[in-house]
Amino acid sequence: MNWMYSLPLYVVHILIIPLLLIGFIRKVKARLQNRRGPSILQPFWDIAKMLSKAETISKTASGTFRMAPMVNLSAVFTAALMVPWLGVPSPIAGDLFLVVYLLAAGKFCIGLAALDTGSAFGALGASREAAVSIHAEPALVLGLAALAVHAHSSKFSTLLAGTPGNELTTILAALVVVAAWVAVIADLSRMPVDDPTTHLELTMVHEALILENSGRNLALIEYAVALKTSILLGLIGQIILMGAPRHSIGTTYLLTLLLLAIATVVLAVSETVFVKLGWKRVPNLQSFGTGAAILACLLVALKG
Amino acid sequence: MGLPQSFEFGAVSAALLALWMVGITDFRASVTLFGIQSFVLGLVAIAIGARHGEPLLILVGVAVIVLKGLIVPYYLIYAGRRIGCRRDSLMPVSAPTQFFIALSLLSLVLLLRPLHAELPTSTLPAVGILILGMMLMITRRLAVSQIVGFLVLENGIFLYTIGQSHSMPIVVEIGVLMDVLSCVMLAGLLAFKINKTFEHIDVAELTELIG
Amino acid sequence: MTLLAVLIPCPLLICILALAGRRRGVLPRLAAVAMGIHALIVAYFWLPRLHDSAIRVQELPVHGLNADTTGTFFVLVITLVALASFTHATGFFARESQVKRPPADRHISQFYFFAALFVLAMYVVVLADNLGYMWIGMEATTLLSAPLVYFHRSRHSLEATWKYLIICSVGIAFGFFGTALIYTASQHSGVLGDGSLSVLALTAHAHQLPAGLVRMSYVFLLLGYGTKAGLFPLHNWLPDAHSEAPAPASALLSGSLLNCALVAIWRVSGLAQAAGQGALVRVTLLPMAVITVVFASLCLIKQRDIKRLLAYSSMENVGIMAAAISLGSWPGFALQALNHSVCKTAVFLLAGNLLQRFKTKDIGEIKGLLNIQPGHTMLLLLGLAAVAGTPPFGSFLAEWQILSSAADQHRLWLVLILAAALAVAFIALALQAGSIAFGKHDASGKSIETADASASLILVPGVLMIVSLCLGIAFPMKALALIEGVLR
Repeated sequence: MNWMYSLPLYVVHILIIPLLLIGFIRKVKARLQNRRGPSILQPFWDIAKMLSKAETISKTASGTFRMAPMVNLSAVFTAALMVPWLGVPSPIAGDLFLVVYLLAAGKFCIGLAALDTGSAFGALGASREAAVSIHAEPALVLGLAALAVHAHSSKFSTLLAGTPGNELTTILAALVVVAAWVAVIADLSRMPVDDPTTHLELTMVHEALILENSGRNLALIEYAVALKTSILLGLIGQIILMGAPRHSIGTTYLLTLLLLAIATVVLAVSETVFVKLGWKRVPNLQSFGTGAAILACLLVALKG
Repeated sequence: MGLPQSFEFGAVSAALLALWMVGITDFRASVTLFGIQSFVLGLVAIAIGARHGEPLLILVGVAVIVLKGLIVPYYLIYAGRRIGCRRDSLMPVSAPTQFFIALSLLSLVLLLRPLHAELPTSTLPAVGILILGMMLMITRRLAVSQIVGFLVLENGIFLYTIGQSHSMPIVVEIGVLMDVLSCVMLAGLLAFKINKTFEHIDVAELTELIG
Repeated sequence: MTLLAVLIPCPLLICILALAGRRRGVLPRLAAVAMGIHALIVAYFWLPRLHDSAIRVQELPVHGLNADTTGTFFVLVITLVALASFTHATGFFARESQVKRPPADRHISQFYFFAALFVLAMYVVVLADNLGYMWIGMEATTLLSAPLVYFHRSRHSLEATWKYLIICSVGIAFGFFGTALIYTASQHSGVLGDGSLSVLALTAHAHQLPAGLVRMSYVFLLLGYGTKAGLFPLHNWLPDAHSEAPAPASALLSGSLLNCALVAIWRVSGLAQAAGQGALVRVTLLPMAVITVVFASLCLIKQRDIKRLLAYSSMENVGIMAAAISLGSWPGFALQALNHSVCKTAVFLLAGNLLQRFKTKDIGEIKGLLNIQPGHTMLLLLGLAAVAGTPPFGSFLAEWQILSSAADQHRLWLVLILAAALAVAFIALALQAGSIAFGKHDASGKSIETADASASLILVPGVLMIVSLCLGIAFPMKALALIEGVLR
């Protein structure tokens, strides 16, 4: 099934699936709230609209502000090419730490851009986003590192292969899924850490970060967020499949798509059900993720 | 899964539930987790009783599920509602710090594993739950939260006793269960009275008798 | 079977009366009469067991309970204390109902209900051979005595009851863990089959128990029963609970409950020593006991509250008895237990009288009593002297016995420390006693002049003091021989 591995097809997936995912989340949320909601293809039209609009840039902003979204997108795009988030092997063989740092680098650039404009809300958003990632990153990294030690390699392909049928793998996968889910919620600024639909600037985390962006840059940022969502959710899906017996590539691909759909439904439901955590209580939630990751590391350290 | 595996699975999940309880400040949530933990332990007791052919142990398991898994949580939530306490936010260190301290204590216990080969397999999770119960009692300041901590402690000891190769005489087990329940009822009554008299249930403020 | 059966009816009768009767003043008198009958029955059936070596160690048909020498002795002590307490309680509650806000009848009924069950639970603890039953009895005593402490229903008693309940229950939970550990040890012994909780069986096969497990279980058992006894790090509940409870309940708590806890410690220490862990016993129990004694003596100096004073004195005596246990000295332990129960009960009852009369526990506010109530005050002074271990009272002999057994084992530092602490305690008690008795009485009238004769106030304590004196003068040698002969 060599055509699956081909780069163009992969890129097509990268272009279509993220925005579809976002549209799907919004649709499910709307249905849960008893509305009809926008169509699933709405994000595409939104990106198109934003690409055609002119940008408003603050006078005090420098080149950083103009370049950051592009840098962010390239980092996330590269990461998308490295992580086997679709269930098929990725075109570039990705390394765990490289991917984590790429995603972090992207976030860093956007934070810089927000600070660059000199507006108060940008700084607020940047500092909050940084604070949240301080709590969330260890969970993700430690969890994946535990898997890496277990597989004796930090390459994603070996990492996610695991040893099928091994009990330790199942337990490890469960713990890492918990850790990763908690971390991903924070990374993607979803409830209960941050409400993506809020209009009150003082309660924003991610939205405040990108408040100053408009036009083409905003389109790039929104698309990058959507791509990151798909990568991380796909990664979690792969970890879940790690504990299951091996299938052929085709089945893994379909199962991954199914898991992505399920993950979006779960996200939508939790966005509807949970309320946003008070800012001081976000570390409480994140500690569970880090705790699960630490337990996974302990397990690997004790039992190999 | 075979019996030893399901037993270990139950014991470890009970320990993880106790760990979860340390990180939570909401009173109702911790009582619910305690109820689930008792439920799991009762199931474990029933499984062991079925395997070893001790019908009385099955009875103890059912008693634990009904009493500690349903009635006590219901009573405690009712007491909490009457007293009007929701969240125990008066702890000396914040919840995440406590969570990590608990995690390190558990790891220490794991490291002590090779010390005593003669102990039953359930010892490590049981000692873990015991330590976590102690921690809950020390760090919580609301009277009703301390009761929950005490109950978690008892759960840990219960897990240890059912993990032995031949469990303790049933009279002793039932007697212990009854004692613990009476203690909880009495403590609940006292908590009501404390709330009525002192207008709060913060036991750190009960310092009128000193010296 | 009859031996056990005779213990039950009278306390049960008191419970039923408490549930039924509502008329004021009737219940205390009926209860006192019932307890008197009970004491006679117990004396008739149980006293001979002390003398006659033939019927000494005998497994009762009821599984798990065994009336051996220790059990018999302490059953008699508990009965004595209960008799004194219930008898005095008639006058106590009569005077209580004359104050401005008398306790409700309901509360008095509850008091007797729980007190009677409490006595039964204490019997279970001292008679238990099965460690599990001992634990259940011990936890039951905590639960049943909490309502007694809470009798006055004030803020302070609420706080004291809460602390008592929580600290003792947590401690006892650790004790249960120790019991479970020893059960595991018995399962690995090879001869006890599925495992056994019987102290007799465990002691018989003590050498086959795995040492590590026995050590761990001993530590936890000590932690558990030590909490109930009030040994040093776990003593926080003791001053509060003993001082907030009404006088008859304080007497029961100090006079018999502490003994029960010490009996439990005695039994498990015996087991540990039989299993070859005598060194562990000495390393853990002895320092705890010594620190308890020193700490209590130091705390006695600055006490302003008379009942807390007595509570700390109880703690000190507990330390001395625990030291006796760790040295393995049964005569010292038993004699001290007996004497302490007798004197402490007397003094607590007298202090209760003071509290009722003067409405305050503060020593600073009670002065010059010798001029007002000479008989009562003399008795109080004598009682405090007895508690502090002055000759010619029995407690002097008991403490001497313990110190000499310590010296026999060449533990001169122990003798020195204990003697010093006892001296400090004596001085403190003497100072407080002096400030109560002497000086000019401030008659600005917070006191109530009770109409009834002072005879009823001091009758029971007086009798107890005479007993204590007898133990010191009249038959010390006989008592000693009896007790020494009692143990094998």
